Amino acid sequence: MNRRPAHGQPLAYYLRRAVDSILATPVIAGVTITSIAVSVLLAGAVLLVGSNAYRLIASWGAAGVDVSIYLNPGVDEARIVELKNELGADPAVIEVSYFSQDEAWQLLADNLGDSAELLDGLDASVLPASFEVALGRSIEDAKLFEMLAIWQEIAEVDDVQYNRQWIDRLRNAMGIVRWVAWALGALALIVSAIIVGATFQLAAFSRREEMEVLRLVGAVGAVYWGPVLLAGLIEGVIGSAAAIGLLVMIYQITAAPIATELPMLQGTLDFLTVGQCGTLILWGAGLGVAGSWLGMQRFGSWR
Amino acid sequence: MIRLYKVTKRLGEHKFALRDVTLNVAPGEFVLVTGPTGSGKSTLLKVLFGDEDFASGRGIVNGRNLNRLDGPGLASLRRELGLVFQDSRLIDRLPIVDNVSLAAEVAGVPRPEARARARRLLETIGLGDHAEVSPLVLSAGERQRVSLARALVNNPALLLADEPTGSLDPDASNEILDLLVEVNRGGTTVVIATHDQEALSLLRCRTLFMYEGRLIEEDQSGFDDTRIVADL
Repeated sequence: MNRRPAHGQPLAYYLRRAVDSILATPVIAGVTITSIAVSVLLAGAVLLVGSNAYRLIASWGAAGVDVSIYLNPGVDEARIVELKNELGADPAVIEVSYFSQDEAWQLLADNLGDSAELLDGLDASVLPASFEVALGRSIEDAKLFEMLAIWQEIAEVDDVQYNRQWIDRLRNAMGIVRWVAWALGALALIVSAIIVGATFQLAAFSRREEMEVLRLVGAVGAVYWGPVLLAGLIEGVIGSAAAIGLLVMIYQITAAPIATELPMLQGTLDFLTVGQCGTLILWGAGLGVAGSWLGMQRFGSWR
Repeated sequence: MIRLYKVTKRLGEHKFALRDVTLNVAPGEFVLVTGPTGSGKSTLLKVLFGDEDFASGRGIVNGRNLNRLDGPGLASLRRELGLVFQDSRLIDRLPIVDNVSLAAEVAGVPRPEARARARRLLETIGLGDHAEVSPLVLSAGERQRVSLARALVNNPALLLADEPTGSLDPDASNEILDLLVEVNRGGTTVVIATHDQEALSLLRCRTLFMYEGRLIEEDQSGFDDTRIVADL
């Protein structure tokens, strides 16, 4: 008799039986794929928002320190030239730019874009003239604070603000956001584990008679489990691919309007990397395999 | 082919599914196991194909020691046996030819050969024209014939049938019994658990009685057979 060991089945056997079992119960397979897709979509959304937030912070952190020195009204042009030279004399200063009240007004109007009508009824005198001082990114906090203190003491200076302070606060806030993201991710994981687990128990229940037959005709090991796990893997890949496709659509629909509304995000918004997409596919496939395995542990016990 | 020595399986402290069952079945025998419901017939068959373990005793089936069977060993034993159940246990989503060939594929037979073998068996049992249909469209008797074909697809040395005619009308029941006799004539050892009176009256073969987990040969004395017959 031409027999091979029971564990030596060709790949076609596993594929055929896995695909057959998916097609035989399309509703259950659809529910399973959907539950995996929802799980991967949740994970992907957290990953997408998180990675863009970190990219944004990183781009801000990569820039140097910008200091805005706001002047009291009525400083004459000669003094402004003197001040500009004094500020630029420090080797830590890369660039000094002066913005008159009119220039500041125009800059604000440009930034407001379509909402510039908000400025109707106001005039340029409400904004102070300022020096925008660019410092190198390597400047140490002690040196920065020393310079800020000196500049704050200049008689014509009304206020001094700098972006590192803002970035530091933002970083602290992002720390909180990161924990929230982890918590949401964990919550999504638990919810999806429950949904996927229940779905796969349903799938396993629907296959229990077939598994019983297989057991009785002597299937064991990979011949017994293989097609079920492969079906779970296929459903996982399909579900996660669908989730990534949906995420791409959501990103394409929302990214452009967000970048328009928040110009500071332009150039930093991006979709997930190929590696991240691959991780999500693996996550979905892993969910499929694990769900199948756990489901069969309940309904496909082997003796 | 089958050797059991004082096999005991307990259901509780004072209740036995099998009690000191000792049995020898030689290759090529045709054996009926009968007894009332709950007497242990099905449990005995389950022990023989490793679906139930037992508390004490020793057993050998087709050269395999039941006391030492691990998972793969148990699966190997099942691939060497043919099993038929009252409820057919077919996979309704597969055509009947695949239901039959699946057992051969699991045993490592390449799919084309397994399907060819399945088709030949279906021809033999009169279902050659139905090879590609779902079991759902078959009658109970036809389903049971498919189940029998599946049991035979690996040319088993031993065929175990648990109430194979239990849910069939008399004509279908006779067809199945005829097929089982044919199988036995081909050299396969057949053990059938049944309480089908017609089967018992038609088949002239070794018949074993079971009662409350005990196995009593037909010709054994010292046991109240009338009580068993009354229960039947």
